[in-house]
Parts: sequence; C-alpha cells; structure tokens
Amino acid sequence: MQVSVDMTPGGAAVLRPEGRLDLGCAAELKECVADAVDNRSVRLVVDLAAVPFVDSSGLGALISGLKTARLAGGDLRIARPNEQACVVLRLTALERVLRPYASVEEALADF
Amino acid sequence: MPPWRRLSLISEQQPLAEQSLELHPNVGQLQAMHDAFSRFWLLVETALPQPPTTIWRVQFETAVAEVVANIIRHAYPPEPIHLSLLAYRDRIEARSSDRGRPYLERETPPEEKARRAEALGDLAGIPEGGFGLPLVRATVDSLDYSRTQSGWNEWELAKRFG
Repeated sequence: MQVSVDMTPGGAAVLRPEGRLDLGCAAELKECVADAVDNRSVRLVVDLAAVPFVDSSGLGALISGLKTARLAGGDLRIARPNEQACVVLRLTALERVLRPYASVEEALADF
Repeated sequence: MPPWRRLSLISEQQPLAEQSLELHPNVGQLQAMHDAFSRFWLLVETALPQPPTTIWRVQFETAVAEVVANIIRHAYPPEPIHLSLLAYRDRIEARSSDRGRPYLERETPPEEKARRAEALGDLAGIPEGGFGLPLVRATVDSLDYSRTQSGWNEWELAKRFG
C-alpha cells in the first residue's frame, strides 16, 4: 500500500493511503502516522477516498494512529470513507471514536 | 480433502453458484480472496433471480475477509486454507478449513470496551484489536466454528437474503 503525505499551510498533514487497508498494510499506516508525529505534525487527516476495503486490522491501525496523535497533543480524523468502511465503523461502534468526515476540507476545518 | 467437502457430496441441496480456492497462509493472498469474490459475485448475478445488493455483498465479503485474516494471523496454518463460497436460493455461505492452531474466544467484546472507554474519555482504554469476529457476527446470520478430531479448524458463515 502506498501512502502519500501532504502538508497544509497550517501545519496539518493529510495522509492518503492507496489500496486496501487490511492485515497486509496496517503496520505501514501506523508507521506513517508515527513519522508524521515525529516530524511535529500532530493534526492528521487520513483521506480514505482511494481505500476500497478496510478490515479490523486497518481499523486497529487507525485507532493506534489516533492514540499516537492525541498523546502528542493533536488528533486524527478520517475523511471520505466508502460504503464498506462506513459499515465497518458503524458495526464496531468505532464511528464515535473515529468520526468520519465527508471531505478532507471539513476534517481540516474542524481542528 | 477438508471434512466438509465430503459432507457436501451427500448434501441434498446443490449450490446455484460456487467459487472455491486454496489460499496460501500469507497476507499477500488476501488479494486472491478478493479476486475470487469478484468472480463469485459475477456468477451470483447470473445464477440468482434476485442478486443481493451492493451493501449486502460488502457485508458478506467483509465477514469472510475477517475470518480468513484471523486464520492467517492467529492459527498459523502450515498448509493452504481451503475456502468455498456457495450461493443458494435463500442464502450465501462461506466455508473454510485449515490445519492451524485451534481458535480460542476472548472474554470481553472489544466494541463494549471501546464504548466504555469512549464514554469515560479514556483514550488508552480503547482497544486496537479483537474487532474481527464481533464484526463478522454483526454482518452475517450465523457463524459456526468447530475443531475436528483430525485437527481441522472449520468455519462456516451464512447470510440469508431479505
């Protein structure tokens, strides 16, 4: 899975993973978040527009990223989850913890 | 040959569509599973008078993917995982067999832990794992596990239409 990272003028980081967020690449996403936080970007948006499938490992990576960001005084938001990701978030009751935003802009504006 | 294959030979009901595959127990094979699903859904569209909706399929595929990921992650099967997807008039089933370690159930459901932790503002208390099987149970109508005397783990999932 590839993850591109864009910095906003305000110092937030937008992570854009491409491909399934599952057992195979959960660890990569965690590393990306850890790297961003190490580079002092503690406000993070994960744009899920190019992620066709999320499994429980992918969810775990997002939760781990959320904890990393919050422990550093920031936060992690997710944006543009597809239908499958929304099903998974709702059924695990994690949509209150990882609140999904309809767009990256809305996620950034809420910081 | 996995145990349930012998059973299906004497079963009364024949599936209207079927896709079977052997998955080598590594994460790279998850793509092969998703590819098999793509082929299976095409067969289902042809074979069933009223194919299930996208969201129904998404739920079922998510459930099977969780079971397979769990097998790879926790059971460490030494040989390929047998997986069959079967469509009947009133339901779709998935059956897997593997020769890995037996499955052991956790105590507190993680979504319950997550709810409690979130309500208390306890960030560290939100679990990062264990959501797999609760997710399966929330998306299918039945989930059965058994361990045979000859050392096979068998998972069977079924989701009814309508």
